[in-house]
Amino acid sequence: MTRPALRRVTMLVLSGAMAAVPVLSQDEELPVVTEAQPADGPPAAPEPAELWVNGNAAYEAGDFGRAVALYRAMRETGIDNGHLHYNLGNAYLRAGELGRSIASYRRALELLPRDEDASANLTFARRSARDEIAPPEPPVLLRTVLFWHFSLAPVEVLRSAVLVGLGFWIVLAFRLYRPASEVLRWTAVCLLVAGLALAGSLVAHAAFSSPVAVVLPQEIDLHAAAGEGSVVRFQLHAGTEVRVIEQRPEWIRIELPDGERGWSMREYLEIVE
Amino acid sequence: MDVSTRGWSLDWRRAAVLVAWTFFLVPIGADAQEPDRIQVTVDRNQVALGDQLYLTIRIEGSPDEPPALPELPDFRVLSRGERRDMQIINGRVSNSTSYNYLLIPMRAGSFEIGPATAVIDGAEVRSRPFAIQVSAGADQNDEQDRDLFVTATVSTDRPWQGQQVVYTWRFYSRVPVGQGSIESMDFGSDVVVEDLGDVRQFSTSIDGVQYSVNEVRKALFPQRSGEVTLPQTQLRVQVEVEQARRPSRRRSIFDEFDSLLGSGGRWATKYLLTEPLTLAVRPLPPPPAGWNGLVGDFDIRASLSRRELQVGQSATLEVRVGGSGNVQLLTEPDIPELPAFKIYPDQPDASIDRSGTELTGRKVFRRALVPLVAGPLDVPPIDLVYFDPELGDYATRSTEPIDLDVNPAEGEEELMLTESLAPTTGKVAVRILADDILPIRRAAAGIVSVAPQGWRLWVWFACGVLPPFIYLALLAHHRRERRYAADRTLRRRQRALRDALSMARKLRSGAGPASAAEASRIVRGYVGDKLGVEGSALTPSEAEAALVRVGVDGAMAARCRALLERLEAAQYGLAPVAGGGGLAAETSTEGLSDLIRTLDKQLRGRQA
Repeated sequence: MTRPALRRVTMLVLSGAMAAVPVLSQDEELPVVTEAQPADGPPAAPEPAELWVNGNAAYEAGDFGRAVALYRAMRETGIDNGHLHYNLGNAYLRAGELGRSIASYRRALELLPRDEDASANLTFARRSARDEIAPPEPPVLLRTVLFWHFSLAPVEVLRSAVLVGLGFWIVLAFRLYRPASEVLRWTAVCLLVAGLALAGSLVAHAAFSSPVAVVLPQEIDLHAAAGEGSVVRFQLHAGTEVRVIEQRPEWIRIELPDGERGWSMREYLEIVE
Repeated sequence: MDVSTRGWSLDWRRAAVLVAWTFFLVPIGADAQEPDRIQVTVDRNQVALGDQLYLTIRIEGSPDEPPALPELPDFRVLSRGERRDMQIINGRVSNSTSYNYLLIPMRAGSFEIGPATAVIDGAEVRSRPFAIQVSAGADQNDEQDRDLFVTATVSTDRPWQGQQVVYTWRFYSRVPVGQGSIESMDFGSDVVVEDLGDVRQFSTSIDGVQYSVNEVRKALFPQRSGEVTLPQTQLRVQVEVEQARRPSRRRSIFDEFDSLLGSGGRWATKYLLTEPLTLAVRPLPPPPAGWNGLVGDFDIRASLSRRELQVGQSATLEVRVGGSGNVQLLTEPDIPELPAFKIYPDQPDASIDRSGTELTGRKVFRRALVPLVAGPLDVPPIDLVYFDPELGDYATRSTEPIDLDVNPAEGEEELMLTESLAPTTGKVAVRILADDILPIRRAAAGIVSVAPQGWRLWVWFACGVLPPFIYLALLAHHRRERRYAADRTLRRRQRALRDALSMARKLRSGAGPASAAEASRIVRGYVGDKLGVEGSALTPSEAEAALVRVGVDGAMAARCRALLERLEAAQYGLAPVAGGGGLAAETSTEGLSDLIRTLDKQLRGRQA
């Protein structure tokens, strides 16, 4: 009775692992991109690889506006990854759009939180911001205690949670036939704790992360109320990052670290979720 | 009449009181009819240098803007805020605003404080001018009469350019003082300033009067010749002002506690200024060769770690340069050519002593000398050129020549240098000259979306969702297997109905012996499975009894027995007990299924 049951569980685990293997190695199955000659204009139906190569070529050639256009075209095809946002940030910065470059670097770091290059470029870009306002960042203590939450991208957290969950259920299945095994018991406990931590991180990402807005124009007015006729309370300058506390179709309410609040027109800010 | 008389009497008294009040109030009212709308007052108009006085500008009403102070070039003016007052006199409300200032006289003399002006209700008003007498600061002979005073002295007022001048600032006090801070001790760009230790505290006696002294020393190095003025140094200090008490009253023990706890009096702020000092800096004469800017009293010494060594071995030459003066400029003196040696410089050791009464320092320069030839060699004297302020001229000090004996090497030359004597020239901090962003990414990872798409998305979804359900299915299967293992008849009981119905569906129609035998086996098999016995061994009577035993009603059990009997008869070719047409109907698939279902329902009801 026991051996056939174990065989069945083993088969189940193997089938699950086989299903997971292609997922784990997806980054290794990348399409090979060959260098293409930069075209005069964006192709009619461009492939992402073509846009990527042409965008990089335009950047290297110093045509930063075109590089921005090609990278943005990639985004419109549905491609979304940290490397693309990183390159977009570089192109924006070279093109003189400080606010958009900071927003792009922030998005790159959302997807590649341990990327040192993106972090260095964001620091470089922030030095050009005129306002002496610290960007909204969680406290160091929180970042240290909840290191997995801040060191992993949401997608990485999701994948880790799925794999940990899979491992947890597999270990539980084995425990049906080896109930006395202490190794299986503590493995299950550890996986459960890890799974709960990761699930908590997912919930925090989904529910508690407040959006951040980056100022785009050189100077904007922050009003006391949502309306152009309202009193201008203070001004902000390009590249300043602020916390968004309320959004309306045309207006956004932001808050500074010292608690000062103001309304700005939505077109003057780029929101980084 | 009485009433009227009493009334008149009361009116008379009231009139008398009114007359008396009028007598006292009229002069005041007359005086107040033409008040100065702006008044400038001082708490005293005779002060000594180093003391201060409070100036108050009081303006009746609400001025449009703060008043303009009169020209006060001979005073240092500090604002001390403003105060608004409201008075109600005889039902008349009056407002006034007082602006307070602290004046610290900068020099002695008689000064006229010009009018202050203010704009009230659009009209400009002016105060009356008045005079203030500032007496010269107390000299050393008068110091014993003062509770607090500051002094500033220099070690010499005719220094040479670059010579060390020790500036000594002292604060003398013989009354309790609170917090104090030196608010300005800026000597300008004409002198280089070095601190000489922390604030020193000591007691001293001046003409028999004991003072507590706080002393600050600075080493000043004039950087240009000519007159260099050292500005005044200002001290702000909290001074306890003793509460007024009767002279006859003796101090009680509570006064001592008050003093201990610091609540015996109130504190007042005093500003003390030193006199400005002027240095007549003398220019240096034209320098000789080898002078590198040293001014002061310096010495130079040289020593060699070994006087006898072999060719290829090393000895450390140590040159010590030190003294008092502008020791920041101590550099390695020129060492004469030593062609008979290989020379390896080492890092110098430097130390500057600021704890003494003047700035002193020394530097030790080391070089590893490796003789290249055998024989008597010598290190010639090393000269140090500096300007001696005492002499008023440049001086040169030299080391003694050092002789050493160098023996031929045993075998090949072997350099016995230590690691620290590597030919380094000193380390410097890395300076970031420029910064830029890091280059773009070219890897193909840039064209792959982070979020899984297509079939990968479904794989991830399945991995996330299915495992719990698969586990639950496994759990149910596991538990059922355990139940089967614990009760070996359970599986037969649970499968009895299903197996019987399945066999009934395959039953061949007809009333022949084969069909009868098959139908009999189905019914016996079902009863046997349900009751946990071997069904084929049951006789019709045993089957009826067993069914009745487990709760099947008698009619149903009898029907079952009768059917089995008829089937047995048909199986062996005997005449059926009942009609043959009835048997065919009972042994049909439908008939058997109906019987077995009815039986199963009753059995299940009883077992439940």
